[in-house]
Amino acid sequence: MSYFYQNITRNSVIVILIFGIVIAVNILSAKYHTRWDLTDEKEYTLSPASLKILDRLDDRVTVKMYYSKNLPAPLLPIRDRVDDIISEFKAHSQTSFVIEHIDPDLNEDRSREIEALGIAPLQLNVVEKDKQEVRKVYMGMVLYYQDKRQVIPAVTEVQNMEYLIGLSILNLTQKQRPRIGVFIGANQSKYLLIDKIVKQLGELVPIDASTKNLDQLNLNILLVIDPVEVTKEITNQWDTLIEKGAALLVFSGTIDVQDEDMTAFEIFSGVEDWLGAKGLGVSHLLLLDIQQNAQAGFQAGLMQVYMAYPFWIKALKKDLSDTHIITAGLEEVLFPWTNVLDIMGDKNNPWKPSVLVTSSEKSFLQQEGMTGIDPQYVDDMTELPVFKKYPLTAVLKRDNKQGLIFVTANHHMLRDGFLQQSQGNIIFLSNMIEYSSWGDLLIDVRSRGKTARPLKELDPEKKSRIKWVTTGAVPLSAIAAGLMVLWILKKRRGRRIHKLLT
Amino acid sequence: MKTAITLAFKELRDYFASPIAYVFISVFLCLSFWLFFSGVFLVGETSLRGFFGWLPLLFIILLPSITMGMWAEEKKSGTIELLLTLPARTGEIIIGKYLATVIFLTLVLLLTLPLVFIMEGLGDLDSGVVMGAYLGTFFLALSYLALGLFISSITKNQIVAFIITVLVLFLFYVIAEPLVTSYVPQALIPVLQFMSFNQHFAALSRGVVDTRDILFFMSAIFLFLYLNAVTLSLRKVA
Repeated sequence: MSYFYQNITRNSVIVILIFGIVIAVNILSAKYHTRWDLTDEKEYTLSPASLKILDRLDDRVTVKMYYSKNLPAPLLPIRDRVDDIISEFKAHSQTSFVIEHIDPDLNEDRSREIEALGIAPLQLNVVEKDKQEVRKVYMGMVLYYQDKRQVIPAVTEVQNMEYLIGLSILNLTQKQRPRIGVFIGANQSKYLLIDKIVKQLGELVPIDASTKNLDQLNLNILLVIDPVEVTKEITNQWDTLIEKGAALLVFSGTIDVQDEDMTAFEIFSGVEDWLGAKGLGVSHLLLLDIQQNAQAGFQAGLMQVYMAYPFWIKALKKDLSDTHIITAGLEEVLFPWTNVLDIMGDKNNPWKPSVLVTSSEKSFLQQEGMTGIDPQYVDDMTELPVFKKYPLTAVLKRDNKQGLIFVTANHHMLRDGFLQQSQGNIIFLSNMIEYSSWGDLLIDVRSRGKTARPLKELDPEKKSRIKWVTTGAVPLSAIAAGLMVLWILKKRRGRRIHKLLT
Repeated sequence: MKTAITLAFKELRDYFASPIAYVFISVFLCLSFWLFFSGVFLVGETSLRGFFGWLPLLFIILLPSITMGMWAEEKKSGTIELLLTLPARTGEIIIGKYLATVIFLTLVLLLTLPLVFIMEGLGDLDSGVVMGAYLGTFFLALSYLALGLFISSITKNQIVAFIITVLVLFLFYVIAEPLVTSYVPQALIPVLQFMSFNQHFAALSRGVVDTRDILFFMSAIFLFLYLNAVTLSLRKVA
């Protein structure tokens, strides 16, 4: 064999060996690895709240994970990430934390058993080998603690995983889940998502105007949305509930807008006197903001036109109280067609208000006698608006007494369309419910990294200037530097040639 | 190591003495900034995700233009023989050329920093995520460069080197995408996902530095540089 071929053989063997070693090292690294979470809010590390929940455990928790083996490729990273989170819970648990992976598709009996637990299969459209098929896969888990269990039916999102596991452990270790009464006064069909949110956080107890003896329902929280013509008898029952230590979450405006035909009319909620006795009022005018608002779609002939709508107010981080745990981790909450709170400031009133959310300093109330809600409302105004920050949500507390009241001068923000549009609104409501049930235990986990970090409000001209100046300036500087260097080199070369010739 | 550094600076000098470096820098910055700004105000979020999201694709097209001539041109002009007979080890020569591309890339990435300062001024940018994304970009580009250098060493035509590098990088890009995974057996998918540069880059650009991702990139860099050394040693023997 020639030296060349000997060399090829020797090199091939070494290359194969090196490949083997590299693969082995990478496989080993999957078992023994370290992570550093650089994110500002430590989004990928167990929060102090989760660690506190784990500290409370005094018995074994078993987590049974049901993942189909034929998961489509896009879901595999989610599965791995969930495994990482569960492993972190296990690593930080003082008691034993057992993780079991169970194949849900082993046989028909197993699948039936899993579905009976409450883990429904996900039907996914999968394109494989040029064929589109609907694949049935399981991606759920069940947590067991003593004789109780909590089911997480579908694990399709990593972001809220830590929260869901923490909530499940809390629910398992509590003697009873919080009982949450939901009273929706009007437009019930527009608040369908509320049930889903509430069921995740506690036991839902539907309430209506005819419900008697509220105090016997053992409610921990009463959520009041869009109340209409509430009687004194009902508000008396609310007071009894509060005296027993429950929390009342009131979302009530004085103007109702039907978004289908964009009509607005005044409503009589019936809670005005009750709120007044606690030192709060709700304005009869809507609030506008020409800078800090959301885009809305309007029909213009056959076309849908999107434009900034001054009646959909955005409260950004600077407008949200950073001293209250409910709002401290939030970035943005949307208040569509909102009224504002009037804080009377009576020092003798035992109820002391703290403002959680305000509007921006560029907001202003509608003009008296001009109650339209057109996008061009501002153009039609005949008086100069008075810009100021207005309180939108407040919490009422008494010194050394149980019972809390959260009041928001808006009910539209909890309608399905706005909850779908603004994740911040869901978190805002969930934080209130959680704070009223568990204190500040879980809020940290829910809020961090969940809401967007919005850009500063800029006018289109400024945006355009930033875009074109940045895109042009840096590359142009590189070209200029290049031309200069090339010119200097050319000059040097010319001088050298000239020197050689002379 | 001294030889490698000397060689690296010689390569860099040559690179900056030709218009290619400046064309590369301007095209890269122009394209990446323009792609980023075409979406950032629509999304309305203070994040550089849009910028880093485009980089793997831009690098596939642009980075081979840096590496394509590194060996191929030496072979074509016959200077490789001279280079390989220098009183330096093959490894040092490879490290020298690789170091030159790495320094050039670092400079290019530094030129993207104005974007970070602008976004910081426009909102509350998560600096941890930005750091993770830069680290991911750096390692991704380093792997691409090592692969490009290796491919340049197996051909003497730099256009062929460019095309093969683009194709191989594209393969590594799509390897874990449904475009490929929908045609392979389920058991192979985790392997393909592990081999995908993109998956490891995505993990780092979330702001989470995991030793598994770093080790993967370092293994890839080592392997391609090693293969480069093998190709050159075979040439020396031949």
